[in-house]
Amino acid sequence: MLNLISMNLYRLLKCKGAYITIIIAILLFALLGNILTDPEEQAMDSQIIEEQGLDIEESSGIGMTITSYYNEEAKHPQGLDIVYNDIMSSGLLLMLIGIFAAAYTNEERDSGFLKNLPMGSKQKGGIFLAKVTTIFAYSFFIILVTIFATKIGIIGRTAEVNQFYDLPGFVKYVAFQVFLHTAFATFVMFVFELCRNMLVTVICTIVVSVNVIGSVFSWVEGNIASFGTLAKRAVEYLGIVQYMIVTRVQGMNVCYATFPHVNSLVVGIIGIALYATLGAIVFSKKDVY
Amino acid sequence: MKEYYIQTNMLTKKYGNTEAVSKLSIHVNKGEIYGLIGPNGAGKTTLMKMISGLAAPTAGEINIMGGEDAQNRIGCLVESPGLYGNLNAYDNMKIKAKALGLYDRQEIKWLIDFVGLGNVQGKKTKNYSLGMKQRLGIAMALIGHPDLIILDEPINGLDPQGIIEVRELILKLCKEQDMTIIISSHILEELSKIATQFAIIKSGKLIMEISSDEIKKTCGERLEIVTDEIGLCTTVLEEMGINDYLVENDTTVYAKNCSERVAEITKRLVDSSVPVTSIGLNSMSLEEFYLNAIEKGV
Repeated sequence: MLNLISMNLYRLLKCKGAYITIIIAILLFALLGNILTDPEEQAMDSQIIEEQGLDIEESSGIGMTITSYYNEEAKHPQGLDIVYNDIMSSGLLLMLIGIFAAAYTNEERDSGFLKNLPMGSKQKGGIFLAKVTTIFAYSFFIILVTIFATKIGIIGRTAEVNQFYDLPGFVKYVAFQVFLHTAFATFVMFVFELCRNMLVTVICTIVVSVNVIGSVFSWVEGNIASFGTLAKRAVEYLGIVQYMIVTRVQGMNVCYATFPHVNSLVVGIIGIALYATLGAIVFSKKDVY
Repeated sequence: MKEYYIQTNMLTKKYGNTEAVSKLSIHVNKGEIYGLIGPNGAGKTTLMKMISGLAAPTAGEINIMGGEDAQNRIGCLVESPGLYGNLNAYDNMKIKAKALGLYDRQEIKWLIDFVGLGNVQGKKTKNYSLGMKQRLGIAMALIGHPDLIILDEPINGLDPQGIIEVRELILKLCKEQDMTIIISSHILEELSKIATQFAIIKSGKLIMEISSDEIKKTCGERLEIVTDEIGLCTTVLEEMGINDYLVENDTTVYAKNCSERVAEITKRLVDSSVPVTSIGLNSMSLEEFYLNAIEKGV
Protein backbone atom coordinates (compact mmCIF):
# COMPACT_ATOMS: atom_id res chain seq x y z
CA MET A 1 0.00 0.00 0.00
CA LEU A 2 2.79 2.44 0.92
CA ASN A 3 4.48 1.57 -2.36
CA LEU A 4 1.32 2.41 -4.27
CA ILE A 5 0.99 5.72 -2.40
CA SER A 6 4.62 6.52 -3.20
CA MET A 7 3.97 5.66 -6.86
CA ASN A 8 0.91 7.91 -6.98
CA LEU A 9 2.68 10.84 -5.34
CA TYR A 10 5.50 10.56 -7.85
CA ARG A 11 3.00 10.34 -10.68
CA LEU A 12 1.18 13.40 -9.30
CA LEU A 13 4.42 15.37 -9.45
CA LYS A 14 4.79 14.36 -13.09
CA CYS A 15 1.13 14.96 -13.96
CA LYS A 16 0.59 17.90 -16.29
CA GLY A 17 -3.11 18.04 -15.40
CA ALA A 18 -2.25 18.76 -11.75
CA TYR A 19 -0.24 21.83 -12.71
CA ILE A 20 -2.88 23.03 -15.18
CA THR A 21 -5.67 22.83 -12.58
CA ILE A 22 -3.48 24.57 -9.99
CA ILE A 23 -2.72 27.41 -12.42
CA ILE A 24 -6.42 27.75 -13.32
CA ALA A 25 -7.33 27.79 -9.61
CA ILE A 26 -4.69 30.43 -8.84
CA LEU A 27 -5.92 32.69 -11.64
CA LEU A 28 -9.58 32.23 -10.70
CA PHE A 29 -9.06 32.87 -6.99
CA ALA A 30 -6.81 35.87 -7.60
CA LEU A 31 -9.37 37.34 -10.00
CA LEU A 32 -12.37 36.63 -7.79
CA GLY A 33 -10.50 37.80 -4.69
CA ASN A 34 -9.91 41.07 -6.47
CA ILE A 35 -13.49 41.41 -7.69
CA LEU A 36 -15.19 40.46 -4.41
CA THR A 37 -13.17 42.89 -2.30
CA ASP A 38 -14.85 46.18 -1.58
CA PRO A 39 -12.39 48.47 0.23
CA GLU A 40 -15.01 51.06 1.07
CA GLU A 41 -17.44 48.62 2.61
CA GLN A 42 -14.61 46.99 4.48
CA ALA A 43 -13.48 50.25 5.95
CA MET A 44 -17.04 51.11 7.00
CA ASP A 45 -17.65 47.65 8.37
CA SER A 46 -14.57 47.59 10.53
CA GLN A 47 -15.40 50.92 11.97
CA ILE A 48 -19.03 50.10 12.74
CA ILE A 49 -18.20 46.66 14.15
CA GLU A 50 -15.60 48.22 16.36
CA GLU A 51 -18.07 50.82 17.61
CA GLN A 52 -21.25 48.78 17.88
CA GLY A 53 -20.17 45.15 18.09
CA LEU A 54 -22.19 42.39 16.44
CA ASP A 55 -25.72 41.12 17.02
CA ILE A 56 -26.58 37.47 16.83
CA GLU A 57 -29.19 36.15 14.44
CA GLU A 58 -30.46 32.63 13.99
CA SER A 59 -31.72 31.22 10.74
CA SER A 60 -32.66 27.72 9.74
CA GLY A 61 -32.78 25.88 6.47
CA ILE A 62 -31.85 22.59 4.84
CA GLY A 63 -32.10 20.88 8.20
CA MET A 64 -29.55 23.10 9.92
CA THR A 65 -29.83 26.01 12.30
CA ILE A 66 -27.24 28.67 11.72
CA THR A 67 -26.34 31.47 14.06
CA SER A 68 -24.56 34.36 12.44
CA TYR A 69 -22.94 37.51 13.64
CA TYR A 70 -24.86 40.33 12.22
CA ASN A 71 -24.91 44.06 12.21
CA GLU A 72 -27.58 45.94 10.32
CA GLU A 73 -25.23 48.63 9.18
CA ALA A 74 -22.09 46.54 8.77
CA LYS A 75 -23.69 43.96 6.51
CA HIS A 76 -20.58 42.09 5.49
CA PRO A 77 -17.55 42.30 7.67
CA GLN A 78 -14.65 41.48 5.37
CA GLY A 79 -11.31 39.80 5.70
CA LEU A 80 -9.15 37.42 3.66
CA ASP A 81 -10.96 34.47 5.24
CA ILE A 82 -14.38 35.86 4.34
CA VAL A 83 -13.47 36.63 0.74
CA TYR A 84 -11.95 33.16 0.42
CA ASN A 85 -15.07 31.69 1.97
CA ASP A 86 -17.23 33.51 -0.59
CA ILE A 87 -15.21 32.06 -3.49
CA MET A 88 -15.24 28.54 -2.02
CA SER A 89 -19.03 28.70 -1.64
CA SER A 90 -19.32 28.93 -5.42
CA GLY A 91 -18.11 25.34 -5.72
CA LEU A 92 -15.49 26.33 -8.30
CA LEU A 93 -12.63 24.60 -6.55
CA LEU A 94 -14.81 21.58 -5.94
CA MET A 95 -15.47 21.36 -9.67
CA LEU A 96 -11.77 21.78 -10.52
CA ILE A 97 -10.64 19.11 -8.06
CA GLY A 98 -13.42 16.80 -9.28
CA ILE A 99 -12.42 17.22 -12.92
CA PHE A 100 -8.77 16.68 -12.01
CA ALA A 101 -9.65 13.47 -10.12
CA ALA A 102 -11.56 12.21 -13.17
CA ALA A 103 -8.69 13.09 -15.53
CA TYR A 104 -6.10 11.56 -13.20
CA THR A 105 -8.00 8.27 -13.08
CA ASN A 106 -8.78 8.34 -16.78
CA GLU A 107 -5.12 8.87 -17.71
CA GLU A 108 -4.14 5.80 -15.73
CA ARG A 109 -6.71 3.69 -17.56
CA ASP A 110 -6.33 5.30 -20.97
CA SER A 111 -2.57 4.74 -21.04
CA GLY A 112 -3.03 1.09 -20.07
CA PHE A 113 -0.43 1.55 -17.34
CA LEU A 114 -2.44 -0.55 -14.90
CA LYS A 115 -1.76 -3.57 -17.09
CA ASN A 116 1.84 -3.36 -15.91
CA LEU A 117 0.76 -4.14 -12.38
CA PRO A 118 -0.27 -7.77 -12.08
CA MET A 119 -2.00 -8.23 -8.74
CA GLY A 120 -4.23 -10.62 -6.92
CA SER A 121 -7.85 -9.48 -6.60
CA LYS A 122 -7.38 -8.86 -2.86
CA GLN A 123 -4.60 -6.37 -3.53
CA LYS A 124 -6.28 -4.62 -6.44
CA GLY A 125 -8.41 -2.39 -4.20
CA GLY A 126 -5.18 -0.87 -2.87
CA ILE A 127 -4.63 0.82 -6.24
CA PHE A 128 -7.83 2.83 -5.75
CA LEU A 129 -7.18 3.56 -2.07
CA ALA A 130 -3.67 4.85 -2.83
CA LYS A 131 -5.19 7.39 -5.22
CA VAL A 132 -7.41 8.72 -2.42
CA THR A 133 -4.37 9.62 -0.32
CA THR A 134 -2.82 11.35 -3.33
CA ILE A 135 -6.00 13.32 -3.94
CA PHE A 136 -6.00 14.31 -0.25
CA ALA A 137 -2.46 15.69 -0.62
CA TYR A 138 -3.46 17.45 -3.84
CA SER A 139 -6.59 18.99 -2.23
CA PHE A 140 -4.54 20.21 0.73
CA PHE A 141 -1.96 21.79 -1.56
CA ILE A 142 -4.43 23.44 -3.94
CA ILE A 143 -6.44 24.89 -1.04
CA LEU A 144 -3.30 26.41 0.49
CA VAL A 145 -2.23 27.79 -2.87
CA THR A 146 -5.64 29.33 -3.54
CA ILE A 147 -5.59 31.10 -0.15
CA PHE A 148 -2.40 32.83 -1.24
CA ALA A 149 -3.89 33.52 -4.66
CA THR A 150 -6.92 35.16 -3.00
CA LYS A 151 -4.57 37.25 -0.86
CA ILE A 152 -2.74 38.41 -3.98
CA GLY A 153 -6.07 39.28 -5.59
CA ILE A 154 -7.09 41.31 -2.55
CA ILE A 155 -3.75 43.10 -2.37
CA GLY A 156 -4.35 44.09 -5.99
CA ARG A 157 -7.42 46.00 -4.80
CA THR A 158 -6.50 47.16 -1.31
CA ALA A 159 -4.05 46.37 1.42
CA GLU A 160 -6.66 46.94 4.13
CA VAL A 161 -8.59 43.70 3.80
CA ASN A 162 -5.46 41.76 4.41
CA GLN A 163 -6.37 40.60 7.88
CA PHE A 164 -8.39 37.63 9.07
CA TYR A 165 -11.85 38.04 10.52
CA ASP A 166 -11.44 34.88 12.61
CA LEU A 167 -8.08 33.15 12.11
CA PRO A 168 -8.59 30.08 14.36
CA GLY A 169 -12.02 29.57 12.80
CA PHE A 170 -10.50 29.87 9.34
CA VAL A 171 -7.83 27.25 10.08
CA LYS A 172 -10.60 24.85 11.09
CA TYR A 173 -12.63 25.87 8.04
CA VAL A 174 -9.67 25.11 5.73
CA ALA A 175 -8.96 21.75 7.37
CA PHE A 176 -12.60 20.69 7.04
CA GLN A 177 -12.70 21.86 3.44
CA VAL A 178 -9.69 19.65 2.65
CA PHE A 179 -11.62 16.63 3.92
CA LEU A 180 -14.81 17.64 2.09
CA HIS A 181 -12.98 18.26 -1.20
CA THR A 182 -11.14 14.94 -0.89
CA ALA A 183 -14.47 13.22 -0.23
CA PHE A 184 -15.92 14.81 -3.36
CA ALA A 185 -12.91 13.80 -5.50
CA THR A 186 -13.18 10.25 -4.12
CA PHE A 187 -16.84 10.27 -5.12
CA VAL A 188 -15.82 11.36 -8.64
CA MET A 189 -13.24 8.56 -8.88
CA PHE A 190 -15.88 6.10 -7.71
CA VAL A 191 -18.27 7.34 -10.42
CA PHE A 192 -15.49 6.92 -12.98
CA GLU A 193 -14.86 3.34 -11.88
CA LEU A 194 -18.58 2.65 -12.15
CA CYS A 195 -19.05 3.98 -15.68
CA ARG A 196 -15.45 4.10 -16.93
CA ASN A 197 -16.37 7.02 -19.14
CA MET A 198 -14.60 10.36 -18.87
CA LEU A 199 -17.40 12.43 -20.43
CA VAL A 200 -20.11 10.99 -18.19
CA THR A 201 -17.88 11.50 -15.14
CA VAL A 202 -17.10 15.12 -15.99
CA ILE A 203 -20.79 15.93 -16.63
CA CYS A 204 -21.66 14.28 -13.33
CA THR A 205 -18.89 16.26 -11.58
CA ILE A 206 -20.16 19.58 -12.93
CA VAL A 207 -23.81 18.85 -12.16
CA VAL A 208 -23.06 17.70 -8.62
CA SER A 209 -20.51 20.42 -7.81
CA VAL A 210 -22.92 23.25 -8.64
CA ASN A 211 -25.35 21.53 -6.29
CA VAL A 212 -28.09 20.83 -8.81
CA ILE A 213 -28.88 17.60 -7.02
CA GLY A 214 -28.81 19.36 -3.65
CA SER A 215 -31.26 21.97 -4.97
CA VAL A 216 -33.64 19.29 -6.22
CA PHE A 217 -33.53 17.44 -2.90
CA SER A 218 -33.90 20.74 -1.07
CA TRP A 219 -37.03 21.52 -3.07
CA VAL A 220 -38.42 18.04 -2.35
CA GLU A 221 -37.61 18.34 1.34
CA GLY A 222 -39.14 21.84 1.44
CA ASN A 223 -42.35 20.47 0.01
CA ILE A 224 -42.39 17.60 2.47
CA ALA A 225 -41.75 20.02 5.35
CA SER A 226 -44.77 22.11 4.29
CA PHE A 227 -47.10 19.26 5.25
CA GLY A 228 -46.89 20.12 8.92
CA THR A 229 -44.77 20.29 12.04
CA LEU A 230 -44.14 16.56 12.13
CA ALA A 231 -43.00 16.51 8.51
CA LYS A 232 -40.80 19.54 9.16
CA ARG A 233 -39.14 17.81 12.11
CA ALA A 234 -38.69 14.67 10.06
CA VAL A 235 -36.96 16.66 7.32
CA GLU A 236 -34.79 18.39 9.92
CA TYR A 237 -33.54 15.10 11.28
CA LEU A 238 -33.73 12.81 8.27
CA GLY A 239 -33.31 15.16 5.30
CA ILE A 240 -30.32 14.11 3.24
CA VAL A 241 -29.38 17.54 1.89
CA GLN A 242 -27.63 18.43 5.13
CA TYR A 243 -25.43 15.34 4.78
CA MET A 244 -24.39 16.06 1.22
CA ILE A 245 -20.74 16.94 0.64
CA VAL A 246 -21.52 19.82 -1.71
CA THR A 247 -24.04 21.34 0.72
CA ARG A 248 -21.40 21.27 3.42
CA VAL A 249 -18.71 22.79 1.18
CA GLN A 250 -21.02 25.63 0.16
CA GLY A 251 -22.72 26.04 3.53
CA MET A 252 -19.67 26.32 5.76
CA ASN A 253 -19.03 29.92 6.70
CA VAL A 254 -16.36 31.45 8.86
CA CYS A 255 -18.83 34.14 9.97
CA TYR A 256 -21.30 31.68 11.41
CA ALA A 257 -20.68 31.03 15.05
CA THR A 258 -22.69 27.88 15.39
CA PHE A 259 -22.71 26.39 11.93
CA PRO A 260 -22.26 22.66 12.54
CA HIS A 261 -18.64 22.65 11.38
CA VAL A 262 -17.82 19.46 13.24
CA ASN A 263 -20.67 17.77 11.40
CA SER A 264 -19.02 18.92 8.18
CA LEU A 265 -15.84 17.15 9.21
CA VAL A 266 -17.86 14.01 9.96
CA VAL A 267 -19.56 14.25 6.56
CA GLY A 268 -16.12 14.63 4.94
CA ILE A 269 -14.53 11.70 6.74
CA ILE A 270 -17.54 9.42 6.23
CA GLY A 271 -17.67 10.51 2.58
CA ILE A 272 -14.02 9.58 2.05
CA ALA A 273 -14.42 6.25 3.84
CA LEU A 274 -17.65 5.38 2.03
CA TYR A 275 -16.58 6.26 -1.50
CA ALA A 276 -13.05 4.87 -1.01
CA THR A 277 -14.52 1.55 0.11
CA LEU A 278 -17.08 1.45 -2.69
CA GLY A 279 -14.48 2.50 -5.25
CA ALA A 280 -11.99 -0.12 -4.06
CA ILE A 281 -14.68 -2.82 -4.24
CA VAL A 282 -15.80 -1.82 -7.75
CA PHE A 283 -12.18 -1.51 -8.89
CA SER A 284 -11.20 -4.95 -7.65
CA LYS A 285 -14.32 -6.58 -9.11
CA LYS A 286 -13.80 -5.17 -12.59
CA ASP A 287 -11.18 -6.32 -15.06
CA VAL A 288 -8.25 -4.13 -16.03
CA TYR A 289 -8.27 -3.37 -19.73
CA MET B 1 0.84 -36.28 -9.33
CA LYS B 2 3.15 -33.89 -11.14
CA GLU B 3 3.27 -30.35 -9.82
CA TYR B 4 3.33 -27.59 -12.42
CA TYR B 5 4.54 -24.05 -11.99
CA ILE B 6 1.26 -22.81 -13.44
CA GLN B 7 -1.79 -24.93 -13.86
CA THR B 8 -5.23 -23.80 -14.93
CA ASN B 9 -8.19 -25.99 -14.32
CA MET B 10 -11.35 -25.64 -16.42
CA LEU B 11 -10.69 -21.92 -16.69
CA THR B 12 -13.59 -20.00 -18.17
CA LYS B 13 -14.11 -16.34 -18.91
CA LYS B 14 -17.40 -14.97 -20.14
CA TYR B 15 -18.13 -11.47 -21.46
CA GLY B 16 -21.91 -11.31 -21.44
CA ASN B 17 -23.01 -14.47 -23.18
CA THR B 18 -19.77 -14.88 -25.10
CA GLU B 19 -17.21 -17.33 -23.78
CA ALA B 20 -13.79 -15.86 -24.50
CA VAL B 21 -12.12 -18.76 -22.74
CA SER B 22 -13.89 -22.05 -22.23
CA LYS B 23 -12.87 -24.76 -19.74
CA LEU B 24 -9.21 -24.30 -20.53
CA SER B 25 -6.61 -26.37 -18.71
CA ILE B 26 -2.95 -25.69 -19.38
CA HIS B 27 0.18 -26.88 -17.62
CA VAL B 28 3.39 -24.87 -17.48
CA ASN B 29 6.62 -26.15 -15.98
CA LYS B 30 9.14 -23.94 -14.23
CA GLY B 31 11.79 -22.53 -16.53
CA GLU B 32 9.76 -23.32 -19.61
CA ILE B 33 8.99 -21.06 -22.56
CA TYR B 34 5.33 -21.72 -23.15
CA GLY B 35 3.97 -20.59 -26.51
CA LEU B 36 0.32 -19.78 -27.01
CA ILE B 37 -0.87 -20.14 -30.58
CA GLY B 38 -4.29 -19.37 -31.94
CA PRO B 39 -6.13 -17.22 -34.43
CA ASN B 40 -7.38 -13.72 -33.57
CA GLY B 41 -10.05 -13.86 -30.88
CA ALA B 42 -8.94 -17.33 -29.76
CA GLY B 43 -8.69 -16.17 -26.14
CA LYS B 44 -4.90 -15.96 -25.77
CA THR B 45 -4.88 -12.43 -24.35
CA THR B 46 -7.81 -13.17 -22.06
CA LEU B 47 -5.97 -16.23 -20.74
CA MET B 48 -2.85 -14.15 -20.14
CA LYS B 49 -4.87 -11.47 -18.37
CA MET B 50 -6.42 -14.04 -16.07
CA ILE B 51 -3.05 -15.56 -15.18
CA SER B 52 -1.62 -12.12 -14.40
CA GLY B 53 -4.64 -11.17 -12.29
CA LEU B 54 -5.79 -8.37 -14.60
CA ALA B 55 -9.06 -10.21 -15.30
CA ALA B 56 -11.03 -12.42 -12.98
CA PRO B 57 -12.10 -15.86 -14.23
CA THR B 58 -15.83 -16.53 -14.48
CA ALA B 59 -15.20 -20.14 -13.49
CA GLY B 60 -12.32 -22.51 -12.96
CA GLU B 61 -9.08 -21.90 -11.15
CA ILE B 62 -5.49 -20.86 -11.65
CA ASN B 63 -2.77 -22.34 -9.50
CA ILE B 64 0.50 -20.50 -9.54
CA MET B 65 3.21 -22.04 -7.43
CA GLY B 66 3.71 -19.74 -4.50
CA GLY B 67 0.06 -18.95 -3.93
CA GLU B 68 -1.63 -15.55 -3.92
CA ASP B 69 1.59 -13.54 -3.56
CA ALA B 70 2.96 -15.22 -6.66
CA GLN B 71 1.05 -12.74 -8.79
CA ASN B 72 3.37 -10.05 -7.46
CA ARG B 73 6.25 -11.95 -9.03
CA ILE B 74 4.84 -11.67 -12.53
CA GLY B 75 6.04 -9.24 -15.15
CA CYS B 76 3.72 -8.78 -18.06
CA LEU B 77 3.28 -7.11 -21.38
CA VAL B 78 -0.33 -7.69 -22.36
CA GLU B 79 -1.78 -6.22 -25.55
CA SER B 80 -0.01 -2.91 -26.15
CA PRO B 81 2.61 -1.53 -23.74
CA GLY B 82 0.94 0.60 -21.05
CA LEU B 83 2.91 3.82 -20.96
CA TYR B 84 2.29 7.40 -19.90
CA GLY B 85 2.87 9.22 -23.17
CA ASN B 86 3.91 12.52 -21.62
CA LEU B 87 6.68 10.86 -19.62
CA ASN B 88 9.99 9.46 -20.77
CA ALA B 89 11.17 5.85 -20.48
CA TYR B 90 12.92 6.41 -17.16
CA ASP B 91 9.90 8.02 -15.48
CA ASN B 92 7.55 5.32 -16.74
CA MET B 93 9.83 2.65 -15.35
CA LYS B 94 10.32 4.53 -12.10
CA ILE B 95 6.55 4.70 -11.55
CA LYS B 96 6.21 0.95 -11.96
CA ALA B 97 9.28 0.26 -9.80
CA LYS B 98 7.85 2.47 -7.05
CA ALA B 99 4.53 0.61 -7.19
CA LEU B 100 6.40 -2.63 -6.60
CA GLY B 101 8.64 -1.06 -3.95
CA LEU B 102 11.66 -2.01 -6.06
CA TYR B 103 12.98 1.34 -7.19
CA ASP B 104 16.63 1.10 -8.13
CA ARG B 105 17.99 3.84 -10.36
CA GLN B 106 20.88 1.73 -11.63
CA GLU B 107 18.67 -1.22 -12.50
CA ILE B 108 16.26 1.00 -14.45
CA LYS B 109 19.11 2.57 -16.41
CA TRP B 110 20.57 -0.88 -17.08
CA LEU B 111 17.22 -2.21 -18.32
CA ILE B 112 16.74 0.78 -20.62
CA ASP B 113 20.18 0.18 -22.10
CA PHE B 114 19.52 -3.55 -22.23
CA VAL B 115 16.49 -3.11 -24.51
CA GLY B 116 18.38 -0.64 -26.67
CA LEU B 117 16.63 2.58 -25.63
CA GLY B 118 19.59 4.19 -23.90
CA ASN B 119 19.97 6.82 -26.60
CA VAL B 120 16.30 7.91 -26.46
CA GLN B 121 15.58 7.62 -22.74
CA GLY B 122 14.90 11.35 -22.42
CA LYS B 123 12.31 11.35 -25.19
CA LYS B 124 8.61 11.30 -24.31
CA THR B 125 7.18 7.86 -25.01
CA LYS B 126 4.31 9.31 -27.07
CA ASN B 127 6.98 10.06 -29.68
CA TYR B 128 8.28 6.48 -29.71
CA SER B 129 7.73 4.13 -32.64
CA LEU B 130 5.71 0.97 -32.02
CA GLY B 131 8.90 -1.05 -31.88
CA MET B 132 10.43 1.27 -29.28
CA LYS B 133 7.27 1.04 -27.20
CA GLN B 134 7.42 -2.75 -27.39
CA ARG B 135 11.02 -2.71 -26.20
CA LEU B 136 10.13 -0.43 -23.30
CA GLY B 137 7.14 -2.66 -22.49
CA ILE B 138 9.49 -5.63 -22.26
CA ALA B 139 11.89 -3.64 -20.05
CA MET B 140 9.00 -2.73 -17.76
CA ALA B 141 7.97 -6.36 -17.51
CA LEU B 142 11.50 -7.17 -16.36
CA ILE B 143 11.56 -4.72 -13.43
CA GLY B 144 12.34 -6.53 -10.20
CA HIS B 145 13.45 -9.79 -11.86
CA PRO B 146 10.07 -11.53 -11.89
CA ASP B 147 9.82 -15.32 -11.78
CA LEU B 148 7.24 -15.40 -14.54
CA ILE B 149 7.00 -13.19 -17.58
CA ILE B 150 3.89 -12.98 -19.71
CA LEU B 151 4.48 -11.54 -23.16
CA ASP B 152 1.57 -11.00 -25.51
CA GLU B 153 2.79 -10.54 -29.09
CA PRO B 154 6.10 -9.01 -27.93
CA ILE B 155 7.61 -8.82 -31.41
CA ASN B 156 4.72 -6.87 -32.90
CA GLY B 157 6.10 -3.88 -34.75
CA LEU B 158 9.74 -4.84 -34.32
CA ASP B 159 12.19 -4.75 -37.19
CA PRO B 160 14.07 -7.96 -38.10
CA GLN B 161 17.04 -6.95 -35.95
CA GLY B 162 14.67 -6.20 -33.06
CA ILE B 163 12.99 -9.59 -33.46
CA ILE B 164 16.35 -11.36 -33.21
CA GLU B 165 17.29 -9.30 -30.15
CA VAL B 166 14.01 -10.02 -28.38
CA ARG B 167 14.35 -13.72 -29.22
CA GLU B 168 17.84 -13.81 -27.79
CA LEU B 169 16.71 -11.85 -24.74
CA ILE B 170 13.90 -14.31 -24.03
CA LEU B 171 16.21 -17.31 -24.40
CA LYS B 172 18.75 -15.62 -22.14
CA LEU B 173 16.20 -14.85 -19.44
CA CYS B 174 14.96 -18.40 -19.50
CA LYS B 175 18.39 -20.03 -19.44
CA GLU B 176 20.40 -17.68 -17.24
CA GLN B 177 17.76 -16.49 -14.80
CA ASP B 178 15.51 -19.54 -14.80
CA MET B 179 12.48 -17.42 -15.63
CA THR B 180 9.30 -19.04 -16.81
CA ILE B 181 7.89 -17.33 -19.88
CA ILE B 182 4.46 -17.47 -21.43
CA ILE B 183 4.48 -15.95 -24.87
CA SER B 184 1.99 -15.56 -27.67
CA SER B 185 2.76 -14.64 -31.23
CA HIS B 186 1.22 -14.79 -34.66
CA ILE B 187 4.66 -15.36 -36.17
CA LEU B 188 4.72 -19.09 -35.69
CA GLU B 189 8.16 -19.71 -37.15
CA GLU B 190 9.55 -17.21 -34.66
CA LEU B 191 7.75 -18.86 -31.78
CA SER B 192 8.98 -22.28 -32.88
CA LYS B 193 12.55 -21.05 -32.40
CA ILE B 194 12.12 -20.34 -28.69
CA ALA B 195 9.14 -22.15 -27.18
CA THR B 196 9.60 -25.52 -25.55
CA GLN B 197 5.92 -26.20 -25.05
CA PHE B 198 2.89 -25.06 -27.07
CA ALA B 199 -0.81 -24.67 -26.47
CA ILE B 200 -2.99 -24.35 -29.54
CA ILE B 201 -6.18 -22.48 -28.76
CA LYS B 202 -9.21 -21.84 -30.87
CA SER B 203 -12.48 -20.16 -29.88
CA GLY B 204 -11.40 -20.18 -26.25
CA LYS B 205 -10.85 -23.93 -26.23
CA LEU B 206 -7.61 -25.84 -25.96
CA ILE B 207 -7.04 -27.84 -29.13
CA MET B 208 -3.82 -29.42 -27.96
CA GLU B 209 -0.89 -28.98 -25.63
CA ILE B 210 2.28 -30.28 -27.24
CA SER B 211 6.03 -30.05 -26.69
CA SER B 212 8.39 -28.77 -29.35
CA ASP B 213 9.98 -32.26 -29.51
CA GLU B 214 6.60 -33.81 -30.27
CA ILE B 215 5.97 -31.20 -32.95
CA LYS B 216 9.37 -31.92 -34.51
CA LYS B 217 8.52 -35.61 -34.52
CA THR B 218 5.13 -34.99 -36.08
CA CYS B 219 6.50 -32.52 -38.60
CA GLY B 220 9.47 -34.76 -39.38
CA GLU B 221 10.53 -35.72 -42.89
CA ARG B 222 7.90 -37.29 -45.09
CA LEU B 223 7.73 -38.48 -48.68
CA GLU B 224 5.31 -36.48 -50.80
CA ILE B 225 3.95 -38.34 -53.82
CA VAL B 226 1.78 -36.51 -56.34
CA THR B 227 -0.17 -38.80 -58.67
CA ASP B 228 -3.54 -39.09 -60.38
CA GLU B 229 -3.85 -42.74 -59.22
CA ILE B 230 -4.01 -42.40 -55.46
CA GLY B 231 -5.68 -45.81 -54.97
CA LEU B 232 -3.03 -47.65 -56.96
CA CYS B 233 -0.28 -45.68 -55.26
CA THR B 234 -1.44 -46.58 -51.73
CA THR B 235 -1.79 -50.24 -52.75
CA VAL B 236 1.85 -50.27 -53.86
CA LEU B 237 2.90 -48.59 -50.59
CA GLU B 238 1.02 -51.20 -48.56
CA GLU B 239 2.58 -54.02 -50.61
CA MET B 240 5.96 -52.58 -49.63
CA GLY B 241 4.94 -52.67 -45.95
CA ILE B 242 4.53 -48.88 -45.70
CA ASN B 243 1.30 -48.35 -43.79
CA ASP B 244 2.13 -44.99 -42.14
CA TYR B 245 0.81 -42.74 -44.86
CA LEU B 246 -1.72 -39.93 -45.16
CA VAL B 247 -3.88 -39.21 -48.19
CA GLU B 248 -3.94 -35.44 -48.24
CA ASN B 249 -6.27 -35.03 -51.24
CA ASP B 250 -7.15 -36.64 -54.61
CA THR B 251 -3.62 -36.24 -55.93
CA THR B 252 -1.26 -36.15 -52.93
CA VAL B 253 -0.19 -38.77 -50.44
CA TYR B 254 2.37 -38.40 -47.63
CA ALA B 255 4.35 -41.45 -46.51
CA LYS B 256 6.25 -41.35 -43.22
CA ASN B 257 9.33 -43.13 -41.95
CA CYS B 258 10.52 -44.10 -45.41
CA SER B 259 13.15 -41.50 -46.21
CA GLU B 260 15.75 -44.29 -46.74
CA ARG B 261 13.62 -46.03 -49.36
CA VAL B 262 12.86 -43.21 -51.81
CA ALA B 263 14.67 -44.85 -54.76
CA GLU B 264 13.02 -48.21 -54.09
CA ILE B 265 9.54 -46.65 -53.80
CA THR B 266 10.03 -44.65 -57.00
CA LYS B 267 11.08 -47.80 -58.88
CA ARG B 268 8.10 -49.83 -57.58
CA LEU B 269 5.63 -47.06 -58.48
CA VAL B 270 7.01 -46.83 -62.02
CA ASP B 271 7.07 -50.64 -62.37
CA SER B 272 3.44 -50.73 -61.22
CA SER B 273 2.49 -48.13 -63.86
CA VAL B 274 1.54 -45.46 -61.30
CA PRO B 275 1.66 -42.10 -63.12
CA VAL B 276 3.88 -40.12 -60.73
CA THR B 277 3.77 -36.37 -61.30
CA SER B 278 6.33 -35.66 -58.59
CA ILE B 279 8.00 -37.39 -55.69
CA GLY B 280 10.27 -35.96 -53.03
CA LEU B 281 11.12 -35.56 -49.34
CA ASN B 282 9.85 -32.56 -47.39
CA SER B 283 8.74 -31.73 -43.89
CA MET B 284 5.61 -30.09 -42.49
CA SER B 285 6.08 -26.50 -41.42
CA LEU B 286 4.81 -25.30 -38.06
CA GLU B 287 2.23 -23.30 -39.95
CA GLU B 288 0.91 -26.41 -41.68
CA PHE B 289 0.91 -28.24 -38.37
CA TYR B 290 -0.97 -25.38 -36.76
CA LEU B 291 -3.51 -25.15 -39.57
CA ASN B 292 -4.07 -28.90 -39.46
CA ALA B 293 -4.57 -28.77 -35.71
CA ILE B 294 -6.95 -25.81 -35.96
CA GLU B 295 -8.91 -27.55 -38.70
CA LYS B 296 -9.20 -30.73 -36.67
CA GLY B 297 -10.20 -28.72 -33.65
CA VAL B 298 -13.31 -27.33 -35.33
